[in-house]
Amino acid sequence: MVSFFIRRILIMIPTVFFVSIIVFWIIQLPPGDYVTTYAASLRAMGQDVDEAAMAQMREQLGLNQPFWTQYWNWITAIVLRGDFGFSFEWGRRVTAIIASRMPATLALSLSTLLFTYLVAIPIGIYSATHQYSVGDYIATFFGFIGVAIPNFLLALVLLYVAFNYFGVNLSGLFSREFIDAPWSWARVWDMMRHLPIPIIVVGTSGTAGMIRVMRSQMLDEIRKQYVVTARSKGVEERRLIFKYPVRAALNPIVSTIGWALTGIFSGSTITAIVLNLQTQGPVTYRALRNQDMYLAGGFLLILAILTVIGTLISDILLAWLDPRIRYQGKS
Amino acid sequence: MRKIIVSLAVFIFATSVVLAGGGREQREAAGVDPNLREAPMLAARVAAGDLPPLEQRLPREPMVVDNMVDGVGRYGGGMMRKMWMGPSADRWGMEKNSSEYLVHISQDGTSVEPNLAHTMEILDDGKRFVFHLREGLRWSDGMPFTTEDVIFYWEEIVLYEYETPMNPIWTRGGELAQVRALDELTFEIVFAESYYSFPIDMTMQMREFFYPAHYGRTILPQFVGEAETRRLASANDYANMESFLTDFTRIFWVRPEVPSMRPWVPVNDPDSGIFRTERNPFYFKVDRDGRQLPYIDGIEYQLVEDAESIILGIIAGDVDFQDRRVNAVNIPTLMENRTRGDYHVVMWSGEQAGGQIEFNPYPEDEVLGAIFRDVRFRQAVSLAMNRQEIVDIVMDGFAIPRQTSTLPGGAFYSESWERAFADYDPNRASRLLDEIGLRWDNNRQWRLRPDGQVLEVVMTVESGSIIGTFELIEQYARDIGIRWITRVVDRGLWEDERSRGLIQASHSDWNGWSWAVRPTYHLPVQPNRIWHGEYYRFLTSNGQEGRPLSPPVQRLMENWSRFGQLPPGQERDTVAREMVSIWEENLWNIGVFGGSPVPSVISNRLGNHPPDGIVHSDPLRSPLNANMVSFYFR
Repeated sequence: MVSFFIRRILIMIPTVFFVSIIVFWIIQLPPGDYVTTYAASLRAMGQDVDEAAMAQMREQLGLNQPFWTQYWNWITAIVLRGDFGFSFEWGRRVTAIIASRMPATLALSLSTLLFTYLVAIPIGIYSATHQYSVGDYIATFFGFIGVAIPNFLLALVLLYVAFNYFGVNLSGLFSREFIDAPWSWARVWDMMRHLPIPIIVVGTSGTAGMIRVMRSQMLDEIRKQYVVTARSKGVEERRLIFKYPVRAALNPIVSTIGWALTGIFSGSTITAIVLNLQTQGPVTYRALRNQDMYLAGGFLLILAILTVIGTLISDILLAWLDPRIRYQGKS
Repeated sequence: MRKIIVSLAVFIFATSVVLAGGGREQREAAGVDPNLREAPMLAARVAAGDLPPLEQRLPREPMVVDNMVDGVGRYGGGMMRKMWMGPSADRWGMEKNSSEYLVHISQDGTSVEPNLAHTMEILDDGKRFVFHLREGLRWSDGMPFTTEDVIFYWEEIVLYEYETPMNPIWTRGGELAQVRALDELTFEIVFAESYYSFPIDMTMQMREFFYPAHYGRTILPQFVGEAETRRLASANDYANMESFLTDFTRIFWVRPEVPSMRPWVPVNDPDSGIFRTERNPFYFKVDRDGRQLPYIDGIEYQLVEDAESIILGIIAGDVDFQDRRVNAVNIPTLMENRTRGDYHVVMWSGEQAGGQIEFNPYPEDEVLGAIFRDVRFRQAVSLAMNRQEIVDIVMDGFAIPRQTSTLPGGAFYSESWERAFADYDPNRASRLLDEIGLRWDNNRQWRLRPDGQVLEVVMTVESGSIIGTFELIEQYARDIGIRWITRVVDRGLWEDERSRGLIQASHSDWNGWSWAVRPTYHLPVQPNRIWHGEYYRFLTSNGQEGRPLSPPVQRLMENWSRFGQLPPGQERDTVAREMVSIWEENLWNIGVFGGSPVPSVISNRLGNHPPDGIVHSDPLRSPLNANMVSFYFR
């Protein structure tokens, strides 16, 4: 068991290394660089930038160096000093920019994740144990709707309905008077009041999808021999469901925790823009569009590392949850 | 020696008459206390002893703002709420809410008006410019503002190139300008050659020609040492010294640390959810009754992630005044909700939201190049377009079908250029193509090039522009037999293809309010335009690179260089007319539409906003030209 984990951790190192190269390569794939997008944005305002000035800017930013030199400078600073470089557009350290957006991002993502699990798992279990009942049909109906509607569209519809029929502007995480107030109970309460809409909007499709997964997993499990045996031996129904098939049905959900972790840090992008949430999503989106490569690259790298760590956590949890996996690991 | 004094009184009088609606009698706002000469918030600070009394804060002769639309206003009423997309996207938009320069450009763009400098003299045939500063001006931290701050800016910031590489406006006849202080209130700028358009260029490109010397000495490396500047950069979360210095010298108006001369100065970090600015206690302008301006205590900029959130904020009544990131296509939504949001909409006459088509005279395909260089081809494309239809469909009718000439009210406006080849006349367009010798093919579907191939033109457009326009243009061109193809690409790719000369034709926005102020669209004086990029390279490399100027471009440039050396007057007007006629005939950039109104949203509580029709343009630093210091809450 221990050697299994050590192996898993060791293999993370080359994985992250290759991912970092790919990340750095991908963010440079689009034609042009930050200087060209900068020049383009100035041109849109009617100001033109000289080729010489552009060359000078490239030189200053180190964009004229060969790929491997740029990569080496970038990665060694991260590994040795934890320095992710700086954002061309903001002129600030990448870590400072990400840190400023993290509290809101984490608050939103964690509560969304919690919402998703708390809603989806019970409904999934209910749907499976009450297959083809009215409740199951309702859950299935909303499940499909939830999967089918893109989050940002749901956000737009909710904003429209709220404004047009109730006269409230639901965008943002805080009321105006609390936007930059210091933290206090009143401010926390204000955020709690604003959170439900983004949680519902961001969480709906995840919840809907998870209901479907949970339902079909449960349906597979409750027909299995061990459930029938337990039932015939007179185990009480509620205890039986939660002790055996639910545990087994959780497998696919646990194994996707790794992805959930990246979701937490990225904050949903388009939805956050529509709902005017100051999370990480909009910042990353703009960085990618403007080829603000260290900001975009730094963030993508963090996501990649989180995915790798998340996968590890999933593996550990699965091994703990499901003895079958543990024993396969041994043989 | 010829001496022209650009004088103030006449001009101020003229604008005040215009803005006040032809001498309409000014009325008092209700509840104005005539004895109150400063804002209560400042009076309280004076009483508490942490601010000197008003008399010591104002200059000896404060600048009187007397062109108020609704008459004098009153203090207080809370903060004015605006929305923005943060310092990196909107700092320049924010700048225009509080700009104060030595001189400001006049409303028609032909001259300059006094501001921090009360007089500017043009001497020695336009080689020497002498500025006289107001006496007793103070920075927002109370320190005196003198020519020392001007010289400091020139010697310690411009010459060190902390902001940007040296701007070409400072070099005439191969020599760098000389900037000298004559005394505490007078300084001069001397060029090697006549440069009458310098004041306009200066207001356009080097707006704040000063920097607080006492503050600069605490941050610049030549005073505190590079180690200390690096420490400051790091303490402020800047990645390196260069970006710190750029922000603190060039984009200083978002930094609360840097003293300024502006009516409102920042008080918190610009990256905050709400970026706050508050009145400058040492501001140098007063109303006609001697009350210190501005009336409004401060402006708050609420951070949003998307321009659409601004529209939602407006109709929900969360915004008091907004002109940026609101445009003509939003007009129906804004009008529909104006009662609910408790605001009204004023239409500024905008310089932006125009479209133009440019052809690359030297594309890879030489046969195509020869066709593009033929003026009849460009005229044919212009005549083939039904501009009114484009305006109706794409802009909801909120634009004027026109060429890219100066907008009405701007310098050297020409109606004949505006209308040149701008009528929808596909038959005439077809005849022009026949004249060039572009025959129809056997099916009479496409026209053929001299080498027998189908005449195909690829127009490459940056994404983000208004897509509907291109589809219509494509159809009009196809109607006269040009196989027109539109490619919409990311701006990075566009820029890349442009720099390699791969773009045949392009459609882009133009926002030139007047070519005399912003020549980039019409003259090869700045790089990167599709139609004149090669000419610009030729000019700047002394003929080593690029392509030699075509005869009309040659004539244009000769006139332009004379234009810059001539004082305002008949001779210069003749030169300008000559240039206009060259553009009118050659249509290097074919205008599609322009002059869309910029809807400006104004809370019904807000007084002194000018009525419809004032020009919204970047050179005028709009909304500055709405005289924002006179705004007040009723």
